[in-house]
Amino acid sequence: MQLLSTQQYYRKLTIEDYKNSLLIDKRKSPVRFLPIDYLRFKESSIFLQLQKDIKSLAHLYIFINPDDIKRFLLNHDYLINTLFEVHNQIRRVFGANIIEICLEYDKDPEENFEGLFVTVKTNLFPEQSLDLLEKFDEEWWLTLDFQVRNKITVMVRPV
Amino acid sequence: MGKKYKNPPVVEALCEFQFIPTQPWDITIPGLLYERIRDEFPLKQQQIGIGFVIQPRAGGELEHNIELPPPQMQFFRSDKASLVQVGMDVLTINHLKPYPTWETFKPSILKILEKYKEIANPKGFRRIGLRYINKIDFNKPTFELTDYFNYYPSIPNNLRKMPEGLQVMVELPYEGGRDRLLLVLFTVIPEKPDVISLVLDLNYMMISPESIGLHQISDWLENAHTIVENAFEACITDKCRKLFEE
Repeated sequence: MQLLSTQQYYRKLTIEDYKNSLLIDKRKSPVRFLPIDYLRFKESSIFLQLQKDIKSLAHLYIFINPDDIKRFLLNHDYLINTLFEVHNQIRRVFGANIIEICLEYDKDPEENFEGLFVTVKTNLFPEQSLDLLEKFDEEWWLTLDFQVRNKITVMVRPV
Repeated sequence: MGKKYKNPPVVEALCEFQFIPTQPWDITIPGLLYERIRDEFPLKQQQIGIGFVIQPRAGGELEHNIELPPPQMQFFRSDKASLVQVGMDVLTINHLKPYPTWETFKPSILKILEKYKEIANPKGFRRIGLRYINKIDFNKPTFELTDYFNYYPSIPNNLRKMPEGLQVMVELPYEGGRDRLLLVLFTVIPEKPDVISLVLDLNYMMISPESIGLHQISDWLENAHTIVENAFEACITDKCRKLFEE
């Protein structure tokens, strides 16, 4: 199967994002790859577009518990666009310091919590990672609706 | 589908028109259409597309060129069960679950098409598609594909296991090749654990530009619906029908 860079995922990025992506060294980049099928054909079906969006996210993030994540996203589809943008913003802020970006579903009935955790694994020292997380929060994350931030948590993990 | 089921598997029906324009695309068309349908489809949403062209260059490298097609607008009904999508020379009318009946869906397609024609004045149809997407859920341990479908992949005996994922597609020609039925059976993400969800996607298309006149669309739709309906019934077994509480 022919693969393309995910900077090209089809409706989330600007021309500038794309141009910037061409400057990244692909061998060191945290950017994953999308099958060409996701890029070439527009899906007219709302039902199937949702399925494709979720599958596309699986090419951007490492899904820790894929079945749980997919089921959760089917029932919380308003989070999907945000997750595309989360990935984009993480790449903008953490750049070449990203090792991988993971996504995990978690549920805590005692706390009445159900949501997703995005973990940015970096090659930085802990202080540097936290500084970038703070930058990420201030420049973008805190502008999002509380409803979204209540369901997605972004963390850093220096490795 | 036309046959009445208590619990029909249709999760989405849609009709898509691609037009041959009489003039370059006018970006005010989606707005003008919205003005005419906003009472029924008040919620609007813009889909921004990025298109890519990939061409091989000498030396085996791939050249990536980016294209920015005009954004596509989506106009939803208040309950979000129905919507109209309009983009550059493309009009799509979708109906999600609960699907009403063909007797209701067809007039709504024709009504919106008529409004689009008044605004955009297209020369003709480049392509037309009538598509029904059916989702059927099965409990994993008890499920045997051949019990429920007459259309399925043939898996050799020594590999005989229930596949975790599958996709089978055939294209059948109709009307001397003018039309085509795209028949696809594939797995999708299930909503519940220990369930396998299969989609039977039937898409009847006119693929020969301008072979159907703008005034012939009602008859074409009727014929397309009959073919899709018959194909659906041909693809499933009686055991499958029982799931829909016939």
